[in-house]
Amino acid sequence: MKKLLIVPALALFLFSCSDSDDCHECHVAYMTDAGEIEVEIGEFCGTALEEVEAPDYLHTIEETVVGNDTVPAGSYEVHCEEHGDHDH
Amino acid sequence: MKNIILTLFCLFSIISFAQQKGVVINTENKPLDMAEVYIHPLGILTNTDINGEFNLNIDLPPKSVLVFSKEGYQTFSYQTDNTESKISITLQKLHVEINEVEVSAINHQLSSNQVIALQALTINSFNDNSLNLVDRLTYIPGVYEKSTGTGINKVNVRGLSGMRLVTYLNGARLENQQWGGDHGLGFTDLGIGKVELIKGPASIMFGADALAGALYFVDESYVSSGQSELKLVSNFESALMRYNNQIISKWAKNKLRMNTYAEYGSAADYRMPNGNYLFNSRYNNLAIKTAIGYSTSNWIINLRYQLNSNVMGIPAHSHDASPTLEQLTSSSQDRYENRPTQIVNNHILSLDNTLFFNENTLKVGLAHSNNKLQEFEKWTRADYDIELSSSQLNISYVKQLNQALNWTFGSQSAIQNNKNNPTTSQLIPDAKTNDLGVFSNLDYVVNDWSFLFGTRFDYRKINAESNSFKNDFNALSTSLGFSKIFNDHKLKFSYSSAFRTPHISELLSDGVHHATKRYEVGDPNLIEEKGNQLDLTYEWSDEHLGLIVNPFYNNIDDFIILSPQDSIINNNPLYVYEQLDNVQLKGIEMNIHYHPHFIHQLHIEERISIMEGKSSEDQFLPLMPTNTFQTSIKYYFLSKNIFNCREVSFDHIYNSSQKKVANNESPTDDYSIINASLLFGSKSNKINLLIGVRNLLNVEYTPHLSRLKSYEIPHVGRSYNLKLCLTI
Repeated sequence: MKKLLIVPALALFLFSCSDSDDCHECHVAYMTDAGEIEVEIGEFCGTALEEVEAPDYLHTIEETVVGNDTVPAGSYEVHCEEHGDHDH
Repeated sequence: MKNIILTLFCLFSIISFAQQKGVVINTENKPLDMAEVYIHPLGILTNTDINGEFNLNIDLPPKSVLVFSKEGYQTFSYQTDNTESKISITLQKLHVEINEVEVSAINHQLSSNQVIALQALTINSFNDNSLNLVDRLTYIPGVYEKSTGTGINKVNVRGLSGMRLVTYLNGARLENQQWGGDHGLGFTDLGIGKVELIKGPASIMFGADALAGALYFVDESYVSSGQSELKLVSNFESALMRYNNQIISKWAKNKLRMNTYAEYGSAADYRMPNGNYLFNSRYNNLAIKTAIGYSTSNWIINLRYQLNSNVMGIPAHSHDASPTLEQLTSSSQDRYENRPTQIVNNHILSLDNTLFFNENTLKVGLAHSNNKLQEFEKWTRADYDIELSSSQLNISYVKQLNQALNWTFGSQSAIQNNKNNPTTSQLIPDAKTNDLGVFSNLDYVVNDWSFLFGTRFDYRKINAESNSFKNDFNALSTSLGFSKIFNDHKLKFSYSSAFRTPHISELLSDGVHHATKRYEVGDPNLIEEKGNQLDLTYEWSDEHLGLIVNPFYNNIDDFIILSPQDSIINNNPLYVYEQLDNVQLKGIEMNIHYHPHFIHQLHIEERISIMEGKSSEDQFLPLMPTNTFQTSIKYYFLSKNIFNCREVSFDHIYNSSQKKVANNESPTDDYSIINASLLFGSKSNKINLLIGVRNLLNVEYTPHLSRLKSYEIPHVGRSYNLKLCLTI
């Protein structure tokens, strides 16, 4: 009977283990014929993250040079997910 | 009320069966220890002791069947008889066994009496070298895996999947938004003992919808009274850097028994053959599960609950409309949570009762499930958040009309409620669906003949108030067939007709499906799909060679497809649900088992699946499986040292190229992969270790049923698998 208690105890332990990391690096994505150019805009946490991820939010940037490409000044949608590193 | 209780008490007390004892021996009259004795329908498994003796130590319901098995011997079934308190079972040496003797959990018939195309597969998480549960199911000819990376997998049967394949878990129908190509099976092999599959629309007992068939998962057995068991199963998979740990406890005393399970697994992005990783193909899963059983000599009750919580990365995400492979892959392997992600929480609670009245049986099953599916592209809000609750009542009564004729009749009813989170975008609307089905099955077994005649009427009402949609559908399904055994040959033939009501996703979708990056639009004027299948099975075996040949033809009218259109909505390509007048799916499945007499422990098995799907306009259907040839070579070692190698196996899988593709669908090339494994075990069977490798030659290939094939993303490269099972 004691063996029976091991499984629920372990399950409770597993459920109690959760990570909470609510800060994320964000970027705007500028699309060109050659593909996407990302402009990093910094790390956002908590309500600031909620704000930049709001459906109608657009982030304004100055003209930015990324490698050999230039991203014109303007307002862009914000993305805070990471991508594969082969497009960097 | 008192009278009712008294009457029920009397009914349950009419028959009292002796507890069964016995001995298992071989043809040389030597006792066989560690032989397994499975008690149907109690779902209890016990073993013989060192003297080959067993004592079931429990009241057996009428018509219980004991199934005796031991490695190297032919499985034997025995219907209990209360006149004999001690029985002696002699097991013959195993030669070729193309269709293992067992009792179906679906219709409680012995495999030898089955008329319909029903196949069973043992799900043994301790000694199989499969990547996941769906991969394991592809050992059944005609079953294929439809995948999105390695974390999201669906079952495809004879070219059909999704809502056309009905899935049951211990008698409860699984409702977890299977309409989505990216919505996986939703649970792992935790606590699953076996699966039974009815191919095609022959499953009168499981309702319409099942044009592809019915998958019926059955839990692992309980231990017998007075026994307890604690198992730890740990698994490591190198290409995914996946670890998966299961803990299983089993306990039984007198009439009560209980199994409890917990599992946690985590996988990083998988490694492709070129050494790079598919970004965001990571996932993790958590599951808990319990089953409590109680039985008397004429009543069995099982209460089960399980929770599956899955967090799955959605790979191949890019802001580019046509990303390159390089944009979707990574040179490093990570497992932390990223976006986009699919989070699925699934609760299933079920209670099943079986009551025995003399020769007749009543089954009453209640089930409630709740499925919450969320898809996130952002961290702080779900893009899509839908909850599906489903309550079911299943009743069936098996009446023995005479020794040869059984009549099974019953009903299934369900209430489903689809509800969107109002703060998220919506793809399918809030809707209520009510189902009612009544069925009748006649099974007639006389001498070497078996006959089946089944019919079913289904009614479905769909009400989506927000879309002002209210409609009802009804239709009649039939299934009939026969089987005949003559000497070593067996012939089975069945004809089945069924229909499938359009799902609310097909009728009323209107929005972005984020995981598939499509804008999907339904058509409220869709009508039912109507399927007719002919299925013929020929089986033959002698001592050394066994053969199953199973051609089929499935004709479906008003077939619903999701068709790409030449326009873009909200930056996503538009897909619209449409109906084709008629499609035909035809093919042949074969299983050849060779066992050379001069090497008794060697078994060679070939499984072949060939099929194609075409519309009446002579167009090929999308996502049709390729022809598959699987060869398994296994050698069993009989040595009984303290710890020794039990089994060595090689699998060669050849998948042909698929050039018969639909418009706008990418063709795929053929490929061969080799998997191998070594199984070690202790004499007491308390320690088992599996060392395996999949895709030994590190072949680069893209399965035709991969949702990522349009990006030419290869499947997993060479992967080593280490699995340890400890029984305490």
